[in-house]
Amino acid sequence: MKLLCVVQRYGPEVTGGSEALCRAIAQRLAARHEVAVATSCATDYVTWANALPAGVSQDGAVTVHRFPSARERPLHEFWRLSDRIFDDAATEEEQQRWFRLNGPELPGLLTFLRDHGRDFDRVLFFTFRYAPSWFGLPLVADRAVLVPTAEHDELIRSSTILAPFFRLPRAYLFLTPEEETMIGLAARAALPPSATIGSGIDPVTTHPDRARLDALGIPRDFLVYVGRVDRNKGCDAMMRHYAAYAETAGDRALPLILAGPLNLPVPSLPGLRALGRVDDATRDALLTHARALIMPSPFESLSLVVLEAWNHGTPVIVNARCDVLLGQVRRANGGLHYRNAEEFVGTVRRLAADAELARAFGRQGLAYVDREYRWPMVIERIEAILAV
Amino acid sequence: MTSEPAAVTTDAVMEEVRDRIRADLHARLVLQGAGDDFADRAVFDEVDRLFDQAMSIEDPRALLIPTRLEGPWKPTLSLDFPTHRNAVVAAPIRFLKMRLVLPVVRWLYEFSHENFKRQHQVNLALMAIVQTLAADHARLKARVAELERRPGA
Repeated sequence: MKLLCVVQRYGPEVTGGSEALCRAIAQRLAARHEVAVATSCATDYVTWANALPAGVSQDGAVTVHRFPSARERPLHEFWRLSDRIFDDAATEEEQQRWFRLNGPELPGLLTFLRDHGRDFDRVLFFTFRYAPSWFGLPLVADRAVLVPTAEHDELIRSSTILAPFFRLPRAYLFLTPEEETMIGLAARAALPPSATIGSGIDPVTTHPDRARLDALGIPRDFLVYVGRVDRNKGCDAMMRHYAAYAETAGDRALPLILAGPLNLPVPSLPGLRALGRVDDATRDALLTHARALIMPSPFESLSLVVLEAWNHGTPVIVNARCDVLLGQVRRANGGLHYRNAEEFVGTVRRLAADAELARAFGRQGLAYVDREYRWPMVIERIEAILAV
Repeated sequence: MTSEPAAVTTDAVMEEVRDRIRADLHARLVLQGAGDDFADRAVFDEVDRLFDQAMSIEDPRALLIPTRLEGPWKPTLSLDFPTHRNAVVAAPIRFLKMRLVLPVVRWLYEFSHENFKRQHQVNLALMAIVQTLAADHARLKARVAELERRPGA
């Protein structure tokens, strides 16, 4: 088959869940199909500034077509319009404009789809909320496979123009059953053929030792958060809840290690320590040796870091306000969840007091990853949908 | 592929954790004077369950009360600059407000914005609780009516 993947950013230097998923899938499908990618020249998801050269290049067996952004994202106008949409005050025209402002605006990519989209058997669109998918998918709807990576956020709740769009694709690839339910409700119609694929993850081959953690002065027992330390990720609430836990547990409180770029001031609390961005080996060591991973995000379409923690046999404590995380942890029996400070304190104390219980949750999480999230199974599910 | 039954389940441990939280909270509230309402732990548990059920309604579109309120009911958090003037006069005034006045008072806008958001959250929680109580009340009313209709009632 000739396949085209459309995604807002692409490349080994690009960090981001849906972009990494697109690249991992494209690379694996390229073993059996002719695969191309259409994307922007951006590496920064806030401004979409052109950083990589436009034109055609190769990423292994994958052909990459890069198109320049017509302009950087006009942030103030975008934020103002976002507020209007989330206040249910935006007209349908303004909502269309929101998708344009959200960007990246790639007129060249839309022309490419118009002129060459039908040369491909299937066109996979990653992430519905960005302009390439929103404006590109209708041009090749008869062969479009949408990977929405949708979160149950204000856009899904507030926008009134989503239903016709969600009825367009030929097929869907969802990351979780919760996402499928949400898109079904937003489409207000039966969905076309779909599969819940999750994301593939390779088995851990070497068990990282503690040497890197010892060098950083990380104690033997600790909690860890891995990812951007950001208000959007629920980190402000997590740090408030941790302060409540540290106050009740006193000297016996497990430290909380934050590993990721800081976009939020970290309060000075005994036990709370921010490492900033860490290398992959340190990240793996943290995920292996932590008592539990905390995942406080209220909006996730699939948490890869939760799967990684389970892949290392480590249990998780997740924000139950996120349906996806709640569904994941309950299906796996891989940890606990909280809705408020009391439950955060209660769940952390429970796992802190019982190492065997934590290990049992970790083992069950790993068994769940083995059952559902290994690459051969994921690619098999994708192939079945491509053949529809 | 079939999977082995889990040795420990998330649901069972969460129930145990929540039970302990409820016990602590009950003791604290009674100590602080809520004994008239919550002396009976079973009553407290039922109220707590009902509040939990109500607070799980997170989308205001699932609430009835807002549909009964006249006009806009939510605090408007987006900042608009509406005008009654013609476009030629309005454009420089809007420019002045956005580029000169707004940056100076942005701290006040953000401070108020945060507080309005908090108040809005409390409003939604109260509306959700009233809705859940009203639904419970309606069910009980129907049950009482049904019992009254039975022969010998």
